[in-house]
Amino acid sequence: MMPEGLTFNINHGYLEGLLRGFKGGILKQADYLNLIQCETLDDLKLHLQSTDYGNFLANEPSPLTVSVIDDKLREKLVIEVEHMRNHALEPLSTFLDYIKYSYMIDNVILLITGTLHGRPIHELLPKCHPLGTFDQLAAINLANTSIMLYNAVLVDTPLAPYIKDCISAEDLDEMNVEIIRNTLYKSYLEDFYNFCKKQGGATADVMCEALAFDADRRAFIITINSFGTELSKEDRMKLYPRCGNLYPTGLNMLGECDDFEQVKVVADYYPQYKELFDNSGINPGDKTLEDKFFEHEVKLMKKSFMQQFQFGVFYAYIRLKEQENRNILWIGECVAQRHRAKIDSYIPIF
Amino acid sequence: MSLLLDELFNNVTMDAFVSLINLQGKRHKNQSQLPSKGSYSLSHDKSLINNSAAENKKRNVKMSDKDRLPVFPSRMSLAIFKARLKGAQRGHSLLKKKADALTLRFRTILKSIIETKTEVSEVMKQAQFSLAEAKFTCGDISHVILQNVTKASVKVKSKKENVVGVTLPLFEPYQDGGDTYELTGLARGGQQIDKTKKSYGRAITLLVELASLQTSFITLDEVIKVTNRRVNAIQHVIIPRIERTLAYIISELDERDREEFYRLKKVQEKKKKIKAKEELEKKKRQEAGDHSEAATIFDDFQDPDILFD
Repeated sequence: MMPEGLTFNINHGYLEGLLRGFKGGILKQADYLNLIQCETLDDLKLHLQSTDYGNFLANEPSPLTVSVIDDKLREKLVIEVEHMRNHALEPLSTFLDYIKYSYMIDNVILLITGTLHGRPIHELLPKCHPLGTFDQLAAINLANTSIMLYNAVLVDTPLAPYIKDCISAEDLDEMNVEIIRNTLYKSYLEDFYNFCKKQGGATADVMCEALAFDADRRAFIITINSFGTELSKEDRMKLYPRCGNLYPTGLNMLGECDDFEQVKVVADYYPQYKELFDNSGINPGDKTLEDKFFEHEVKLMKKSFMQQFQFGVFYAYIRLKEQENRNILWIGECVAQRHRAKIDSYIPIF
Repeated sequence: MSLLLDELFNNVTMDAFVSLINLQGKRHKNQSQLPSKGSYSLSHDKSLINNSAAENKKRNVKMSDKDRLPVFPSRMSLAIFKARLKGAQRGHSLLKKKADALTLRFRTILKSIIETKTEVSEVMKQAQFSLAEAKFTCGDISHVILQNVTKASVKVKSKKENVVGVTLPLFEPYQDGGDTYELTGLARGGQQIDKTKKSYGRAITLLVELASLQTSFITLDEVIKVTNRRVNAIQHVIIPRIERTLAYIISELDERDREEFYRLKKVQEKKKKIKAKEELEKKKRQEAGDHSEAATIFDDFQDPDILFD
C-alpha cells in the first residue's frame, strides 16, 4: 500500500482527482425523484439542466425524442473518457484501453455482421459506439470477403490476440455472431483480469472482484438464456469466462444445467449469488435476475470508490455512468410512453 | 418480423403506426377495385335486366321528356314488356337480398374492426414498452438486429373469400424460416429480448388481421354502394319506366280497340241506313205495283264460264 500511496499521484493524481469530481456529478436519489415526476420529455430536460448535465440538450430542436437524449448522454460520457485517456500515462492508459476494448468488440461484431450481409461500410461506421473506435476500423471497408476481413483487418486490430485465439477465418462465415461476440468477450475478460492482477495492490483487489463478478454474471445469464435454443452444452461451456468465483467447479456445474432450478442450485453454493437468486422472480412486480445483478454491480462499483490510489475507480465510474444513462433513458421511455406504473424500476446509484 | 421490428424502431409512436395501417388500407382499396369491377361485369352478364337497365339509363338521358321506352304499341311489345317487368322485379328482389347479405357481413366486419383496433392499441403499447425494457437491460440492440436481417421472417399470404359473389381478400401471416435471433442478447437481456420478440409477434398478427379486415371493409363498402345504387335504380327508374311503357301500350291498344269498335259501329250504322233506304224503295215499288223482287245472284244466275268457254 505504502509505495503506491507515495508514487501514484506523480502520474495519476490529476486524473483521479478529476474523476472523483466527475463522480460527484452522478445523479443522486433526490435527482431521480425529481425526474420521475416529469410529465413530458421537456420537463425531463429541464430537470436535467439543474444537475451536472447542465444544458447538454440546449441545442436540440423541440420535439425531443428518447434517442436524441441517448445520443447526447453517450456523447458526454465519450468526451469525458476521451479526455482522461488523452491525459493518461502508463499503465493507466493501457487500463483505459482495456475498458475501451469491450466497446470495440461490439463494433467489430457489428461490422462483421454488416460486411457478411453486404451492407455498405459507410452506413455502418456511424452506428459504431464512439468509445470503441480504433484506427483500423475504417480499413474494414477494404475487405469484402470474410477471409480478407480476417487476414487484412481483424488481425491488426487491438483485439487481434483474442480473435486469433478463438476464431479462424472459416468460423466467420459459419458461426453465429452472438457466439463470436461472446467468445471474444470471454477472452477479453480473462486477459483484462490477468492484466489487473499483474498491477497488484489495491487495483488488483478492486478490479479482480469487479471482473470476477462480471464473469460470473455472464456465466449465469448465458446459461439461463441458452435454455431452449440450439446452443449445445459443449458450446455453452466454451463461452464461460474462466476468471470468476465460479471457476472451476461452479462452471462445470453450470455446464450441466438444463433448467432454471438447477442454475439456482449452483448459485446456492455461493452466498453472494444465492441472495440475488432468492430475491428475484419473474412475476410482475418482482425484480428480475438481471436487475438484481445490476444492483449488485452498482454496489460493487460504489465500493471501489472507498480505496484511493488505484485504477478501479475509472472502471467503476464508466460502469456507473452507463447505468445512469440507462436509468435516464428508462425514465425517458416511461415518460414518453406514459407508462408510469414501472417508472421506478430504475437502479439508484447514490 | 424483424423488418417490421426495424420499422418500429423508427416509428416510435403508436399514431405513426396506425397511420401506416390506414395507408396500407388505402393502397389495398385501389387493388380491391379490380375484383369488384370483375364482379360487376359478371352480374352484368348474368341478368339481362341489368344489361337493359344500363341501356335504359343511357336512353333515359335522351328522352327524359316523356320518360318511357320508345316502342310501337302492339300486342307483341305488350307481352315483351310484361316479361321485362317481371324480370326487373325478380332482379330487384335478388339484388335486394344481395345487398342485405352484404350489409350483414359489413356490420360484423365493422364490429370486429373496432374490437381489433382497441386490442391493437393495447398490444402495441405493451410491445413498445417491452422494447424499452429490453433496451434498459441490454443497451441499444437495434443496430445488431438491423445488420442481421436478410429476409422477412413473417410473411403475408393472400387468400380469397367469396361473399355473395364478391371476392374479399384475406391476409394470413405465416412464419418463413426459423428464428435467426434466438441467441441475441445471450450474455445480457436475452429473456427481455425474447419477451419483446413475442409481444411484437403478437402485434404483427393483430396488425395483419386488422389490415385484412380493413381491406374487406373497403371492398364491401364499395360493392354495397354499387348494389344499392342498382337496387334503387331498378326500383325507382327502371320499373316505373317499364310500368309507364306498359300503361302507354295498354292505353294505345285500348284506344285502338275503341276506334275499331267505333268503326264497326259506324259501318253497321251505314249498313242499317242503306238497308232502311232499300226497304223504303222496295215498299214504294210494291205500292207502285211492282212486286218483283230485286234480282239476287241466286236467281237464274248464270255464272259465265270464263275459263273454259
